[in-house]
Amino acid sequence: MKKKVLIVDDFENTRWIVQQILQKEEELEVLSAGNGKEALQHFESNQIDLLVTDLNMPEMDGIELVKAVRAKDRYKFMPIIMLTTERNPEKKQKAMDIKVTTWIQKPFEQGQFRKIIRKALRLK
Amino acid sequence: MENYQARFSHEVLELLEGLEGTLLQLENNPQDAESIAELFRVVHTIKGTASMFGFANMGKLTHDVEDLFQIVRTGELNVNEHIIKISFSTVDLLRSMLNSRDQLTGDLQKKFDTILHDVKQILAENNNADKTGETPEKGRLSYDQSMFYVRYQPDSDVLERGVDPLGVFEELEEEGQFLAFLDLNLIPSPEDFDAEKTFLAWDIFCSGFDDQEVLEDIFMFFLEHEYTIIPFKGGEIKEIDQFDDILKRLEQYKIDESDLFEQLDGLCNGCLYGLQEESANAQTEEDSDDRAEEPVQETREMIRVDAGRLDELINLVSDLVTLNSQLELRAGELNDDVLQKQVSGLSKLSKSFRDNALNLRLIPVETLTIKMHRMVRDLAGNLGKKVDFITEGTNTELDKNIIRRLEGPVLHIIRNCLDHAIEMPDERIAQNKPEKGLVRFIAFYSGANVFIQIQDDGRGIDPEKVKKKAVNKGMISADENISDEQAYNLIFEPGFSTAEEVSDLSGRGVGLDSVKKQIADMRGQVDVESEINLGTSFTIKLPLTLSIIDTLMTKVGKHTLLVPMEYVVKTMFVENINKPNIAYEDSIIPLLNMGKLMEEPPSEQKMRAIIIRHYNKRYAIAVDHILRDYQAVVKPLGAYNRHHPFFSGSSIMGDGSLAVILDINRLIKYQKQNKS
Repeated sequence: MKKKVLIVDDFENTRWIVQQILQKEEELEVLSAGNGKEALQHFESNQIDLLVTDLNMPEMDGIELVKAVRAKDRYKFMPIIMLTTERNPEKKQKAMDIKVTTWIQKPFEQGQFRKIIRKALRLK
Repeated sequence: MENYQARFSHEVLELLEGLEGTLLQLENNPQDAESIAELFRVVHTIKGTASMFGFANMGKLTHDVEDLFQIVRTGELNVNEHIIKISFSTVDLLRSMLNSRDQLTGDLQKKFDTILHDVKQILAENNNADKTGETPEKGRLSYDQSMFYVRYQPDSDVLERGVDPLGVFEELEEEGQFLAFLDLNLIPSPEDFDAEKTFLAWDIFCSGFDDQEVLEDIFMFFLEHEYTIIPFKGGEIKEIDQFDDILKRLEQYKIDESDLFEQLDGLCNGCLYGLQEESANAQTEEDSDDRAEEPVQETREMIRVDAGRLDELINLVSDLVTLNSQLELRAGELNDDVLQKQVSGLSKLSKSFRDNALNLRLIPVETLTIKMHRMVRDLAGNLGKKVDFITEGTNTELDKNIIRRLEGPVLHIIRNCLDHAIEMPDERIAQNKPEKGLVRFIAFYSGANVFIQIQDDGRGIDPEKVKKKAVNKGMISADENISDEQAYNLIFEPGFSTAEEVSDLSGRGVGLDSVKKQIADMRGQVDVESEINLGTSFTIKLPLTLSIIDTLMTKVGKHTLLVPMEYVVKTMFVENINKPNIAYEDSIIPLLNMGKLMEEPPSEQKMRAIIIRHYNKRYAIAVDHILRDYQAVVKPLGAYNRHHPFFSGSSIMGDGSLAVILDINRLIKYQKQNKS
């Protein structure tokens, strides 16, 4: 069964790029959402294997989204990757504090991005 | 088999070269344990492989010599002059035997027997010949492969971050080998135990990883405080940072130190040396302080590559660079922004690719100095002179093709120093000079060039004598007024030194003119400075590589002519190009009309002149147009043009057309010949 990756970003371009990169990975299916609320609906209707989310978004930001997802029992140990343009280490630490797997700094390099995604999903 | 033998020969030749260096060190410092160990190791290696490759005699010779070094190594016999002499003879004989493919013809058999006889005699005197050694070096535990130690202690909430703490082991297994000890000390009492948390930690040794970055990637999802990587870069195990801390940490596993080392040895496929001794002497070893003061040689992992393949790579890269500039040109015409961006990205990439590839061919000049040491040693002995030979900057790297071609000229200059410049000891004492003469070899970078200086503190060159001799030989006229500097440069002229004046040592009838020519062929220059009784200094200036050259792109008729930038002083307009000389600054300098030399029809327009400097003289070179600077990838001229009087190579331009590269040295020579 394909692993489901959910990409959440309010910027359409980022969603598109992530889709483009991950489409080539056979084992993956990519879903996307433009904000936290939309994302939460996906979590209800699908079994998501990996969440990739932006940090700063309107309505519900990345941190709130992660908290809400982690509160659900079946997503307690799901890998989560935070996308951020943030260079401030303290804010990054804050992202780690809410228990994300890792963060990827935007702009990212395709190969590195793919590698981290596969690593988070424990794909060889 | 032929092929294997060639490889063996090549390897042994390199080993022998290293061996000579070690012997010279040992001669200066007979107690040097490092050198002795190295000597033993090299002979042992040759012995081990010689018979395997069908070099039975070589195997026999090295077997006995190894026995000799074995008793030296264990301290039963001290290094003395006799041993050094035997060692040098062995090196020479081994070299000859490589050439003769192990056949002991004529003279070789005699040398072979002499060495074996001498060695056997020493061994008999010491009566310890049976103690040959496969035993590891005493008192040292060293290793020659990089390893890493990792303390890995993930936070207890790591599962809640979506990270599997065991994932790293899968990856470690995939990328290399590891040896892990599971630390159970963090597991809490049953009432505090939480199944959703992790309380495990590990002490891990890894090998087979190219560098630390690969490891760091594996631990990517862990925070800085969750893992610590300590690299072991090769060398002595005791000198590893925090090694004591590591050992302390391992105590809990109740593993015996020697067991641990044995396991580590297995981990890195037997890269540890000196296992037994070290664990036995672990407490008594006190001399490690002395060793700490010695410069620690960084061991780099090396890979041997056939030089031909490297050349092929450079050729391919050159083609890539050429193709790239064609693409650049085309993209410019198409006016496509995206394409232009991509092409300029490609340009950057292929340029760094090229630089990288060229770097592969750089080797340190140190390879030259070993031969020089040996020559100085032998020659000084033969001449009855005392000489200190000092080398500086031997890490300076040059294209291997240049190093190869540099050997002859440099050895020639050093031979001259010893033969003519350095005085006999009593003569030096009479002049209040130190009894021992000094010859220095200095290499250093400056800009895109490497400079090599050979200095001596000998008698110096007397410019008056040089002038007198030049007049006698009809090279200059008696009333010609030349500066001292110009006089010194006369020694590089053909016919200045003659066979009968050169001693049989430095001679072979070849003078410094050939040195100058060989260096000029590498686009280099040689200069000499001297002071009577204080000494002489030869300075050789060389380009870093022969494959790429900075040029000024010019047009002469329908041809594109590339003028090597390093000679260019400035450019100017000229009115009349048909005169043989033009005024430049305060002097009149020769004018070389390239159009005429290249047999192009005369041009109507105003001509440009490039002022170049060749040694201390200036020349003007007239061309039709000066376009821009251009980094040319040098290609050899085709068979048809190979002996062209003043072109040294060609280069393919961005548009696919061919440009020729002007050889200033040859041009000036050509002009002089045609004038007279």
